[in-house]
Amino acid sequence: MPSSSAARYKSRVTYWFKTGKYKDIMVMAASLVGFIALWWIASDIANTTYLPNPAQVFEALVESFQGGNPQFGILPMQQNIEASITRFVEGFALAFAVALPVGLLMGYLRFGEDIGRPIVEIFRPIPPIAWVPFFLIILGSFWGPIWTIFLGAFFPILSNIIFGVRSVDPTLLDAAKTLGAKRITIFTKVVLPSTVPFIMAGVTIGVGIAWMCIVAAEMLGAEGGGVGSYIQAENNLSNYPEMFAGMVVIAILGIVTLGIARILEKQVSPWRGKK
Amino acid sequence: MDNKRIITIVAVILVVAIVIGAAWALTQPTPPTQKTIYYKVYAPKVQNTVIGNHTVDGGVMWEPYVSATVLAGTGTVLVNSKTLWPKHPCCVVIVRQDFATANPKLVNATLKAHIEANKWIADTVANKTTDPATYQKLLGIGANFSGVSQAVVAAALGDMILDYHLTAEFESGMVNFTNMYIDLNATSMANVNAKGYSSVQNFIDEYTVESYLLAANAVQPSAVSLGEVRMAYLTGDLHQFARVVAMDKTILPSGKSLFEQYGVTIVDPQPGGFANGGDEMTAFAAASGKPDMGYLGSPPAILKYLNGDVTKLNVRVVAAANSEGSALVVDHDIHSVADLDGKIIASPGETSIQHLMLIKIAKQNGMVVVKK
Repeated sequence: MPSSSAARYKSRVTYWFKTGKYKDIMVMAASLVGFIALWWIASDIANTTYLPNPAQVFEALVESFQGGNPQFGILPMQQNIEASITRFVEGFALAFAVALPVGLLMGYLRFGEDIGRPIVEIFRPIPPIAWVPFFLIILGSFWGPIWTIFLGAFFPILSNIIFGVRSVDPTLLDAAKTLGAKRITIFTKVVLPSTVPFIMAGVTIGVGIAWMCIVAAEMLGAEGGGVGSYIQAENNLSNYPEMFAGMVVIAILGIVTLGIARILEKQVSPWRGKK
Repeated sequence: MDNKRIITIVAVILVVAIVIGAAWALTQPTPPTQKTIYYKVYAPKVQNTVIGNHTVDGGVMWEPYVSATVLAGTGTVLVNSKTLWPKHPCCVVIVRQDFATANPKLVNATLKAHIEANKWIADTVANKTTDPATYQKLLGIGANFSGVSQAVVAAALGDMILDYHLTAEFESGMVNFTNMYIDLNATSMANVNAKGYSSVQNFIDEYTVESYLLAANAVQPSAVSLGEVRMAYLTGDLHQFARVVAMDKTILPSGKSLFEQYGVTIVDPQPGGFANGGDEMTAFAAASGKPDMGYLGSPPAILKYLNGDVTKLNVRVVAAANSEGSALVVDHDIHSVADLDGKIIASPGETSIQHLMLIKIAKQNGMVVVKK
């Protein structure tokens, strides 16, 4: 809700009603309820342990926080969530820290692009998941999944940054040059701020891909558990409601992180063109 | 850059640092109160490598990788499965119920090839001094399949019993495994009852079907193909040596494989084999592309069947493949099970017999197994 428009209304609820936004919310709620109902019906029709109904999954979700069976790799859910989030943050931070300077250099300097592009083009089409077995052997189950996330997030961020640098308004560059700005000044005062929205778009795409990578990587092996490991461990024992509970947790975590990325994007993007 | 922007950047970096720090602190394991053996999942084929590069301190593995790791000098056998459970059942041959009902002759013929392959291996090993050439051929077939040397295959052959009979002893071992899984909460008596079995003994009695094996004895070579069998197996697992031999086209003068001799065309549903029995059982439950028959460890065949849905995963054990032949191999620094406290052991997967073996070893020594 934009703060300026919200200020005109007494409360959020009034805002929803006066602007007709309540209709959107109701349709969204109906969609969600409809989905759960369809799932339930499908589960009843299928009548198989492989497709549990929403109530069984919810029950399994609640129980997943109360212990587990560590001898078979089933750790308590809170421990898995902590492990996945840590892994996500570490892999993503690493990807961002490398993609930012590399992307800026490749976008800004022709020489940088000539060096970087062939390597990037070779590695970009390889799905991060394809690296998982290799990473597990070479880097072990602690760093392996982190590097998989790194690869997943790195390329979308990098591509967006390069594209962002190239999309800087030439009029701005010319104006800066005319006013006698040094190359480094043009880079920090014109190129960098103009690239920020592109960086954030890359971050948002990277977040989504990173979550997919984390689950796949953890399913093959991850030190200290993880929601992907949990799903795999429950699958090993054919505990399907628990397996679906893990999938629900992944969905929630994905939505939350994507939400955070979008908020950040909204907050950071107005920087563009301020100076 | 104005001050506001610098402050914002610093704040963002601080928040990220705090989140990472907090997450790291939260995930630091609290020291376990009980003596613990940690495990990580690694396929037996790579366990020699991960023990060698000290990623893990040991591994529970199937042959020939036990012998491979020992002969490579990477590790020593700390506990052999035959000392833990003498003559314990290991791999079995399973068949999908609907496939067996529709194609009983094909199942019989497949088992005939399995029986003949077992006999050929036994004869070849028994006559190795009088007929070294055939023995070398056997070692070569095993080495080629498992990616190990012939010396390793020779050692592995001495560490396992290859036999197709579903003996009372074999079935009693399967009862023991089922009871272990119930004790470990990996399955339940409720699941046994829900499948219509009154007891674990009753379940194993019904789950193992000897009639195909008995009928197989009378099967004669067939000039025409009886049909295709989608045959599943485990990667590099020499417990299933009979399948590898029955696939080989060099042991018969006709140039046919044993399967072909009895009219069976083998199709590989998962080229390269499955990583562990649990994954193989999951494939048997798949909506399409299911294997028809498969070689796998008896524990995953039991566990996944009991926990699965009989409308999707309905198989029976129709022959034995081997007994014994697994071991806990450890780094040279480890001399006793007590030394395993806090150490990491590679396991092929939670549903494998090797994993069950690790849990049993830990339990006997007052320790627990926890995933690293």
